[in-house]
Amino acid sequence: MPVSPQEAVAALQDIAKTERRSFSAYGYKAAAPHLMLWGVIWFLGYGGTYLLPPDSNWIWFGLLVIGAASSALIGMRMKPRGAAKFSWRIFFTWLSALAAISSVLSIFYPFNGLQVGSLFPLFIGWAYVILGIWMGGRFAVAGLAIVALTLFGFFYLPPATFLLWMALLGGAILAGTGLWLRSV
Amino acid sequence: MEQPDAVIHQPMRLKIMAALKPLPDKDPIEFVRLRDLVGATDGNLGAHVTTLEEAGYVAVDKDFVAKKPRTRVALTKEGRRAFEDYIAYLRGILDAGDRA
Repeated sequence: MPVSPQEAVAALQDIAKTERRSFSAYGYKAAAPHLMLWGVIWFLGYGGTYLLPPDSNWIWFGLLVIGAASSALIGMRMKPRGAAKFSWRIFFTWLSALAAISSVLSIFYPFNGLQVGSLFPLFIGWAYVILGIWMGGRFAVAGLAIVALTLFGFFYLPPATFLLWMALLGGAILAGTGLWLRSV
Repeated sequence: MEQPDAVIHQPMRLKIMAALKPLPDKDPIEFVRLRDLVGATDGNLGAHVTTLEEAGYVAVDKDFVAKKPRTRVALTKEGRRAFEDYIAYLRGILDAGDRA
């Protein structure tokens, strides 16, 4: 069964197309539960900061550690049977993201709560845009929505409303994107 | 490889292998997701997956989730190697064409 060069080109193109689709679908499936989890974390974090401003640092610290650990557990559950181990890689990915944003904040001190509350979602939103460029357009759509929502809140809403805006819409966008990705 | 691997050479099985390849080692994909990715019917996909399983190229895992049956398919080490050999075979044809 000889294969002509034309058939070889067509087969390689088909393979590349299927691999790309599968790669995106795998990424969507892997990311969906994490996005839903972080949607809830955002809701609780921004909502908690809105209700209890003096305790905001502790609220966020606790939620971010819980979020990183929960993400690692989700990663563990997604492994095939017999290969499930606590996913330290995911845990340290989130801790590194937290450390990266905190280190950026440290050189801009002093800053206000509005700037801190905006910097985190802006970093995360752009990270999703970059992920979307490589792994699938839905990540980029979600990232741009987070960035637009944050910038609108920062520049056009009264500071007192910003936290509520991020709690409700930011949380809903993340959790909704998770559901959207799961449907692929 | 002078002749293509007959198991992988079939277009639908080639698609199945291509869909499984981006997944990390031994990570399975659910049968229904695989069906959507390769655009096959349940019966067609089932027959081709069985052929690949008999060749040792994929592993099939069946279990129950919330009392519903679930079938998952993963590429084996042998399958990954055979697929890479097949890609090399196709590229070899193009390289030979370029040299001629």
